[in-house]
Amino acid sequence: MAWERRGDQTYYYRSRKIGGRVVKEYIGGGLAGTLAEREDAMRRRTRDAERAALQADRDAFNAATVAHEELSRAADALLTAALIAAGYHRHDRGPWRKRHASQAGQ
Amino acid sequence: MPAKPDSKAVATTRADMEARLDELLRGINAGNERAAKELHEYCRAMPALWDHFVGLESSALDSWKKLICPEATNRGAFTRDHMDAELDKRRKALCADGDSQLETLLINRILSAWMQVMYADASYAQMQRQDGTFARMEYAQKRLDRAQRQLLRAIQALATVRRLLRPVQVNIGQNQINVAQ
Repeated sequence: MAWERRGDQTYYYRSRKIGGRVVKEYIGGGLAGTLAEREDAMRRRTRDAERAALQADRDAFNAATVAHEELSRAADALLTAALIAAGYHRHDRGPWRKRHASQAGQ
Repeated sequence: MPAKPDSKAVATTRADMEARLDELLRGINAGNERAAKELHEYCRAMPALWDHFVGLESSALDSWKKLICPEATNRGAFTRDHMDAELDKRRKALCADGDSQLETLLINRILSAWMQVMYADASYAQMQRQDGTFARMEYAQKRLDRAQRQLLRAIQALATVRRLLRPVQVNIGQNQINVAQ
């Protein structure tokens, strides 16, 4: 979004992406240009605020997820340790099975 | 008068213990059976080690509580009380007589995963109401799916313990005999 000089006058242009290409749209000079500029600034502020809120939500969610994942990791490891100690084993993330008596020493 | 323990030495031992524990957890999750056996022995030899895991449980639950009702207003306090009551209700429903420390840990993991699902579900619904963009809706949907998968995994882990590690009770007449552990 910018004011551009054409001869002695300045005119407001709005840029937008259409089909991957940046296309400039002529708005006008004077009052029309000023109003369009204000509208664009307001829209930009709203969009920035939404983006910041979304980012804050993501950060907070990720921070909480870290604590949960640490707990999950410990719980999975303790479960595995308890099952192995009780004589179970699993092959390639399959179901837990009791180790056969002939393999018990392994 | 007995000599005071050197605080630095204690801290080093604790740091060493946590580093070793972290190493063992990583090893077990990567499929190392020897590490699993070592951790089992470690837990039996040092019951105080469970304090570390209890710390993880409360840290996970607190972080979700803070996220769901962050403000210290009356409404926030009300929501937190309501959530605590709901957590207690669910904890009671999941608990069984003679639960081991491992089962308690797994129950708290389920509760933590449940809060994660609750938050992800609420934020997805809120985004839908606000006509979120496709990318945002997709992100919220993925987050919800992941949270639901984690909840299922947590429930599955508790079910595995209850199925495989509980003593099998055989009733012969009036006698109850525990035949296996």
